[in-house]
Amino acid sequence: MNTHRVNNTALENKLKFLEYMEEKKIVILIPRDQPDDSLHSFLSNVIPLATIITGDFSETELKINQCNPDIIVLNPISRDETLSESIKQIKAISSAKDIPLVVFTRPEDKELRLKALESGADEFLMYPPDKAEIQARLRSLLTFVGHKKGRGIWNENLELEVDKRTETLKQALEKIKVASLDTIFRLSRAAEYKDTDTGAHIERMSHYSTAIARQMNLQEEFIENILYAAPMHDIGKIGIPDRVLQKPGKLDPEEWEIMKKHTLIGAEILKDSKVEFMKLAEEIALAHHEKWDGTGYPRKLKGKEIPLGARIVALADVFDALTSERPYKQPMELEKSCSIIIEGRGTHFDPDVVDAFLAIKEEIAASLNWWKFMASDSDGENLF
Amino acid sequence: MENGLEQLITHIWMSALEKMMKKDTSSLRPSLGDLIDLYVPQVRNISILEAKPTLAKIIYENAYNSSFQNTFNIMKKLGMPADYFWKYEYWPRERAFETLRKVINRVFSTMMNRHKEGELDLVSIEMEPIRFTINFKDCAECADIKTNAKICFYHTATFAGILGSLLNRDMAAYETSCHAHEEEICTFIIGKRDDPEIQKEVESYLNNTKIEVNLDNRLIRCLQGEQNRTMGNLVDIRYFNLIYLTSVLTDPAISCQQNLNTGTEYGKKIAPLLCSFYKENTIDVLKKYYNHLHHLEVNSIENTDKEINVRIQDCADTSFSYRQETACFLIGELQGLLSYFTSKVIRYNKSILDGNNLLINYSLDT
Repeated sequence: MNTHRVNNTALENKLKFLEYMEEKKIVILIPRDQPDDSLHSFLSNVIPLATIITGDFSETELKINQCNPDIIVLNPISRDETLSESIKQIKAISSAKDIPLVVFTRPEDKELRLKALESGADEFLMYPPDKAEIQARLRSLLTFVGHKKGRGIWNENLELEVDKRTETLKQALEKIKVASLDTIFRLSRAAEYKDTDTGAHIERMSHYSTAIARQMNLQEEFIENILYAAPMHDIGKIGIPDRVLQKPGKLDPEEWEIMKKHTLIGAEILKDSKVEFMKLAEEIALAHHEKWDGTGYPRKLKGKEIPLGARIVALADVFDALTSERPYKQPMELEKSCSIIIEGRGTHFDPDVVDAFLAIKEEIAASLNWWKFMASDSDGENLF
Repeated sequence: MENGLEQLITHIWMSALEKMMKKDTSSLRPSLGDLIDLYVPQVRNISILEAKPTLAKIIYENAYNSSFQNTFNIMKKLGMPADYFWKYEYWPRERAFETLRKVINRVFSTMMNRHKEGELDLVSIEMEPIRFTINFKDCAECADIKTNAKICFYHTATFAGILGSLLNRDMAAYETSCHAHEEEICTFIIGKRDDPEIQKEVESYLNNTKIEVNLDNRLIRCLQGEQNRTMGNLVDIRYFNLIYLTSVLTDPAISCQQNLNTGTEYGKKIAPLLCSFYKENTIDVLKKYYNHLHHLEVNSIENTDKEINVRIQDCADTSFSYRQETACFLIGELQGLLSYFTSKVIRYNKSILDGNNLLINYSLDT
């Protein structure tokens, strides 16, 4: 009865080991020039389910990639000077560099073991081989590999989770930004309505501004920011009294001074923000009436003293005013509007901005039609 | 796919835009005008789909790519700023719906109305995840067809391509209801192509393409002039050419041969029906039939011992460009009809476009 139980326990242990090994992958490399059939069969018995690769090292890389092992066991027991070279070759394989490499040596080969360690070997098995020792050492190494892999997977999962959350956060931020663009359009339009009925003016000139910025090869972040910032260029008009803003005739000098203050009021409204496009909006609101030759307002800045965003918006603003219909004027033809812009090159406007604008004249001309098309009240059938 | 057919498709889209903008009011065909009975594109589409169900995927992919590219061309021509729909998926829902609907209605609904292709209406938008619902009433692709599946593959992909191009995103679509499937109007859902739910639905939609249609009944109703749409039974030949070209675009040479064979079988099949309808059994039936459908005018059929020459004008199939690929189904259909009326085996030899006349030459097998 007892004997039977002992036998059963041995069988259970063997099955347990087999089950354990089934989940692991061990590769035994036996170079073709050193065949050892007895060791081969011994190892097959001691390390069941291992993949035994007999062949040249030139074939090793492909085979290791195919097997994706947990441990590589290098045989033979060799006094050969080429052992270090063999280890280096295996470790040079990118998919094998982190896999523990176990080498068979004889107890007396101390020097060889040192060389092997220097070359990248991780563990040794003694020859003649002892079944219990081999299994115990492999088990211990596999446990270590398991922990390492587990950590790796945990790290990978963590990275994935971080990526996922970053993406979600990015999307949420984008949503807030774009939603703010909508709010910006609406609020800026409110300021515009106080002045004239040019609700679509801010939308048009924002797109002209981005088109010019894109043509000037400016950074994508700046292009994005100017799309948000440009609509707020006249936000300061909200602080100008209606008697001045809505005066039908020409402004007298005192009224004109009041009117000029919309740049300062706008900058005041927008100041001290930590958001990039708000900072740009502040610059634009303050400086979009400055002129390249220093004759603008409010600070009479000259040339590149005027922030780039303001130089771009200055042109887009004037061009849209020229080409738009107002209660007191018909829209100006594209060519005439362009000639006014050209006249202002180097005096009113930054020459580089004018050049970029002229380079996209056709695009601007087409978009003029687009805005008319979208602003029309007619249905589709009567639009064209 | 450098076979010149893509350029032809672009040319047709641009012609549609010109027509919509009323810049080009001249008719493409001097005597028959721009309209054709919608039975003609339908029978082409359905016959070749019945013969080769996997063609649905080809039509879908080609129609998507064509509409994506040509929507871009159209919007550029109309001057829509590149940033117009910038970061659309983050827009507030109300603004997203209003703006996109305005663009779709003003441009694409107008174009499709002018073509009598159907009444396109963007009816709803969901932003998370992004979903558009389009209703298409009086759909030319399936009007008066009754079958076991949803079959508007061309329009499904065309709508996905239009939205994809406008928003600069890769989109995909599937049909949730189809007039051919006993539903009142065709409805399409469009979402991002990499959305797993959309992928699953599209996959299922494009795999359920084994269709069975009783075209005999459809033909009789067509000849009897039964009104089957509010828009009437005619449709623009631009649409006819576009839907047909998308089916041959991928492999024109093979498609051409297959469509010639399918057309031949179809011609043989309808010949007795036509004789019965027109109550005569002569070759003149052909002339009446093609004229009846506003398809083309048969000027003459010269029949000798060795060959038959058919001279036709105002052919809808060649109204933009004469290429064998555009006319192969028609050539096959004529071959089938002529075989029936002459009781001889007839083989297609060649065809030549001479001004507005298309001359098709067949040899008689003795």
